[in-house]
Amino acid sequence: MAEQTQNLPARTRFRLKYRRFFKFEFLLGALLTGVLGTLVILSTWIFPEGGRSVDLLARLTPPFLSWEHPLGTDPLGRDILERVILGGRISFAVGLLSAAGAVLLGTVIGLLAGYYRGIWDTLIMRFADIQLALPFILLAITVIAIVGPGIDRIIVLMIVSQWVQYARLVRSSVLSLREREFVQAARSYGLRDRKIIFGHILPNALGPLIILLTLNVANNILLESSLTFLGLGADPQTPTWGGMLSEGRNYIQTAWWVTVFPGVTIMLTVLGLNLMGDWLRDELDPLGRTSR
Amino acid sequence: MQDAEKTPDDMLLRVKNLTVQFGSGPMAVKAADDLNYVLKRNKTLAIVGESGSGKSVSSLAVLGLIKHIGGQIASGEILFKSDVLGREVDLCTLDEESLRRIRGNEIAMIFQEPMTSLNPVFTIGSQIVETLVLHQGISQRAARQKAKEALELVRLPNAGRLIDNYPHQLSGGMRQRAMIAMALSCQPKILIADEPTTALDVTIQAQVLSIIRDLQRDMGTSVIFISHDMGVVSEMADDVLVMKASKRVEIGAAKDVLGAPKEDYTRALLAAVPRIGSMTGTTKPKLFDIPGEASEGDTPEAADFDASEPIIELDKLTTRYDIRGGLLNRVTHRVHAAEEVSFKIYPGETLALVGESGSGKSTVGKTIQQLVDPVSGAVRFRGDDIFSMPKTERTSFRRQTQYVFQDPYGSLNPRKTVGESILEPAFVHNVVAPGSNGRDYVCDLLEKVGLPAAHVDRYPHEFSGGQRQRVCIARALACKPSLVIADEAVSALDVSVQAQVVNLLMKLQAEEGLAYLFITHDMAVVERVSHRVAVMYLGQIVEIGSRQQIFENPQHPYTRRLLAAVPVLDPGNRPERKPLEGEIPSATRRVGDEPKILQLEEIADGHLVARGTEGFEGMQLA
Repeated sequence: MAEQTQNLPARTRFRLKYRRFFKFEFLLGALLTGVLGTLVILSTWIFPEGGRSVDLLARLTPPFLSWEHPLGTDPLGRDILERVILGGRISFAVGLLSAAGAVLLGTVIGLLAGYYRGIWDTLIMRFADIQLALPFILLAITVIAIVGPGIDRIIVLMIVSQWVQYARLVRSSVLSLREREFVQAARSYGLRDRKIIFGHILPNALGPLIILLTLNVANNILLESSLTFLGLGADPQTPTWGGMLSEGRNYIQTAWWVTVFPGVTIMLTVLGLNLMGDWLRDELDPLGRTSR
Repeated sequence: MQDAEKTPDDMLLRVKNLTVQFGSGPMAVKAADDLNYVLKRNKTLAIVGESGSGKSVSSLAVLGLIKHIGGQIASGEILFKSDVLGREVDLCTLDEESLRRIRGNEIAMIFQEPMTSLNPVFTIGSQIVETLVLHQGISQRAARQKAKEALELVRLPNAGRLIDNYPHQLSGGMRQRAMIAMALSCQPKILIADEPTTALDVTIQAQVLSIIRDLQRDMGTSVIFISHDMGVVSEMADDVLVMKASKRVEIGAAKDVLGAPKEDYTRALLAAVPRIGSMTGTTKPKLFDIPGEASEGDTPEAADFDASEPIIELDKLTTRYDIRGGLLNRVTHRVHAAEEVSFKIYPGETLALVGESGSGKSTVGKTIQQLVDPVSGAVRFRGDDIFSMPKTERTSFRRQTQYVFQDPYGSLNPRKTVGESILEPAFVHNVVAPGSNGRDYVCDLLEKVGLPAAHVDRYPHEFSGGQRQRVCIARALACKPSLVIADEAVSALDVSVQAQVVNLLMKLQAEEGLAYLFITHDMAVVERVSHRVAVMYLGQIVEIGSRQQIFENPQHPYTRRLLAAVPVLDPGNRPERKPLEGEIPSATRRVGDEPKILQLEEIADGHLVARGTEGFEGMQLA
């Protein structure tokens, strides 16, 4: 391979070497998540007043009319663009942290339960069934009523209730993978369980896990909005995408921009994450890597 | 074949210049390239070839199923005299509606895998009835009656009861018979059988082949028989078509093609087929003569072994699997996979452990490798009982035995390069110092098993089945074992590849003084490779002795039955063997219902045979 590429022009050689990055999924996904992520991280410095400056005279200004409010204003006259960018702080934090926590906890439990089986597997999976049967909103209301509202609590609640789906997914993959001959082979030459689980089984179980993860991030951003709407999440003054969606609900017929812009932002974020997820899944699979 | 304008009457199906391709443009792959053949009435045409030669694709084209699997017929025609449509039609251009009327009705197919080709959620009966109602337009009740008759035709016992059973309640051989019943229920003119017995045990294979033969005689069906097994082909075929790389190599009467092949490829293919009985009179294993492979002077005979101190000794090894059930999840049944199995293996020796599925032969291998724990008995490695060692010592013992699995596709992690896979056991046992990258070590191993060292960074999917099995062998050798357990290690490979891999194993044995436990169901391969043979049946050894003792003087009826069932490559002579009936009984027993331990009797030096035929009531012994 290496000798063949020597004679090619530098530009082609560069493209060949970084071939994996010249893919539609990666380019669009990276662009979307990159731009949104940068804006969100810098938002605290761009908008020091935190999107709380009320201007009742300019309430419900339509978008694209002035440079002052390019995306219009909400019923309290707050700038939509400012609030969309600032809202990303909480939405990103909730979506990413909760999904990351759940995937870590769920994957480890799923791997161990699926690999070792036995009494712990039975206990954990019955517990998981019970947890799945418990409505999340009910659990959230009960817990928040006791410990008080807050974003950190919401994240913990999401992790506690969502690790189950990862555990189930991973466990079912592990159950079939542990019987595969390459795992048997690894056991036959005396590889430690830890290395079998994390070196042989986990890489082969990643595909569906990544898909579930990207969907989960999106769902959690929306779930946060329901909780905020119920008054269980962030303080209503703090902008969040979900919160903006529910505020705009009453004005959807007269002032579409109040809901549409946060909605589109959520969509773009989720799209970006999904594209990156697809790309990552293909990159991790040696079969997919060479065939394209 | 001169093309007359009108088809001669006995030519039921004519395939002319058929080209099937997958993909389009410069990337197109031809799966059948300018293929011509003729199927005559009431005759069997066997299509033989190695995997990827296009033998299955050419038959799927006959069913008009090429589009379904994503290919296209680029050119050619398949002319078939259809009674349903009342004329001769070209199956390549026929509309979907007419094709549906022909499929299953006039042309039916049996697939290789009886486990997956029946729908698990419907009863056997309802699946046959569905075909009948669809094609013959008869009532449910009449169809059910016909389905029952079809099941009786394939000699399934209790057809009346089986008709309401689900596929999982039947054994593999019974399922394949049900498949045949389904395929024949509409009395098709052509039956396409795609490797119908490859997944079955030899004794069951013999039953199924005799059923297909009898039904063909009675119903006047023409059969297209696709197989890689030359022995089976020789028993079944009137005509043989040999394919290689999508092209026709040779076609003609079975006697001519198999008896006096014209083409080099056919000759090479036949040379690689192990023939049972071909080694009568020799004591040592023998390498296959592969044309083109440099035979190194006087090495074709494998080395003799050193019979002073056994490497490993099994002493009344018993392994059982518990089956739990009932309300309290108590052990209700046990699978008696291995019962008091005893044997010894000496350095440099190959002991073949043969038996049919469920005989417990793999369990014995897995117990030695410590993949399962025995209930009782001992495995002594150079005198030390490994199951009474402390755990750390047991782990280091794992270095001494290595396992090669059957499935070269499943036994390598698809996400690791072959270099990583080969090196892993060496790191585990510190054969290669941790921290060093071990690349040279892996490259040496790859060259030793006949693969280019440059392939070290490739992933398993970039290799063919035979190459992958070589990688698995390299991995087994990585920690310098003294015993290699080859569990059906060559069963999934094409004959020519199988011969190469078997030769490789024998050469490595001569070079390194390895001992092999060769677990297989294939008697013909066993005759080639082994010094000694142990025959297992339902978890117990029924006969053990030197290769010559077992093959030339088999004493136990089960051994004889096993040997008689092996298809023989002898074109022109169909063996008139009594169709053997009966299923292999299950090794699953209720708790408390222990099997009787067979007593072995020494009838000659090292030749032990079980006394009596207890436990064999389920089937007719030869």
